[in-house]
Amino acid sequence: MEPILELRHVTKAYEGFTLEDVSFALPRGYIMGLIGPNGAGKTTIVKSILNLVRIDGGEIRVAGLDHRRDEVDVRSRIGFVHENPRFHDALTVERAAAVIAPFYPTWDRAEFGRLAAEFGLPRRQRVRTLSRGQRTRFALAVALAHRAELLLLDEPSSGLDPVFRRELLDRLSGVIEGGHTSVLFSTHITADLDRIADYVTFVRQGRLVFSAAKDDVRERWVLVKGGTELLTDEVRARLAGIVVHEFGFTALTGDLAGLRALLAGAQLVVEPATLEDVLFYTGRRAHDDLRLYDDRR
Amino acid sequence: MRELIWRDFVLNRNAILANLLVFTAFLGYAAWDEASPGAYIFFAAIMFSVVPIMIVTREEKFKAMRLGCSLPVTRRGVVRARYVLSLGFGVAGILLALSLGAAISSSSLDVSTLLGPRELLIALTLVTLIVSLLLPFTLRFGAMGLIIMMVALQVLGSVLLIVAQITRSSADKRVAAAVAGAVRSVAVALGEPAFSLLVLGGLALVVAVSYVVAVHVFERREL
Repeated sequence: MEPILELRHVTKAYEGFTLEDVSFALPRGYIMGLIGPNGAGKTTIVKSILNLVRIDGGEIRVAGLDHRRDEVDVRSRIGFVHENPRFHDALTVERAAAVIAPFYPTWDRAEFGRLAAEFGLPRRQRVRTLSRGQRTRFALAVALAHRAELLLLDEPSSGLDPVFRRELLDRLSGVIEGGHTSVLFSTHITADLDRIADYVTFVRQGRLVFSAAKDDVRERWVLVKGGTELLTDEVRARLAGIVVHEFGFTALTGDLAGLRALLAGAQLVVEPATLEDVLFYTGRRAHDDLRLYDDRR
Repeated sequence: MRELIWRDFVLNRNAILANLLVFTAFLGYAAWDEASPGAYIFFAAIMFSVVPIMIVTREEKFKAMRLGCSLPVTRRGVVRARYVLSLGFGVAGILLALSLGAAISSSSLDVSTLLGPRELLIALTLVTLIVSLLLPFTLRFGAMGLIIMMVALQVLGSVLLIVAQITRSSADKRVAAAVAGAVRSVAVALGEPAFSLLVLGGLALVVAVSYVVAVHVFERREL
């Protein structure tokens, strides 16, 4: 089946930042977490999909449609929830929705009413008086009321209180249940991914580090710990993001079998890696050990 | 396009109403105060042409442009809606001004003067030039771009004036007189109806060029 979203070799250069050769695909009916540190390029990717920024190279397809050539069709299939959703503050919730509705042929007024009630949105209240969480709820209700096939959320949970953050994540899990809607959400909070993501795409300094199913990521990577005398060049080649401390090293490996074969007989501690571990260690540069002690003593 | 224009009206309802009130009061006073027809039409055209520019800058101010452009519309569609709205406002403003001028009993602005082809053509030219000059800049650079352009034009004007004063040159006046003379010669040679058509054609061309430029720059704007 055709993926709902596909990026192929996408590049975008700004002064001082380049999004370089980013490719990934999101199958229909799944949730993908787009993660990376601040300034990694997450927002640029989201904006590129919406054609709010023009990509310099590559291709973006939504439901098989080119995001530039079929711009209107693509946008009518997308529901966009911005980090800090901005609507027209002077309007009431109901009026703001009524202004947006005519743009979507698939807008379902009854569904919006139902969602507004479910999300506890005061329909006659002015948008400017809504809390941050209520604005995000409103943006989500708008996105769902036009039956978006792809929900794009740019850092939707940052700045939200833990209760609403969890509620939002649960709702996102709920919207994909019918298989009609898929979700791409950017975040820098790994707990969000642990909770709901089926796929994880990790970007760092404008480059794609990996894009894979979350379970594959967990299965593939493990943490290994051992003495620093084991860190030969051959061993280093099989490790990512080595952290050296006073009594040895900790690193991530995706090739445990190869490492064990190489270090047969050596004492090596193996632990499962969390998603946060994977992001921390793979995000660090190779051959650039992080030393957590002063070795000049 | 209808949805975009309707959205602009709804979102800027209060600002538009406030402007309409102020402009109407000003024009009413100008008509009552027996302003010259030329000045009267000149101010009406300028005031009403800048209302849609204000709408764009307000959208910028409230950071709502990204939301607008994430709706299922093309950038070209957004620009087209803004041009239709701007020219519509300009023409509506002229009609309102003419009605006011004619309606106010103490006004010296009689309908026949106001509805003269010359006045109408001047008003239409002003509206077209203001919209065609300001809209591409505002769409591309927002309120700050507009301010920079206005300041740059002011500075340019001041520099030219100072240079003209210092050098005691009358080149500016000679150029203006030459242009006016050339226009008058063409008008005489062609006759009024043909000249009016020529001007209208020229204005249409100006709008078309401005629109193409606005689409080009707005499509490249990163939001």
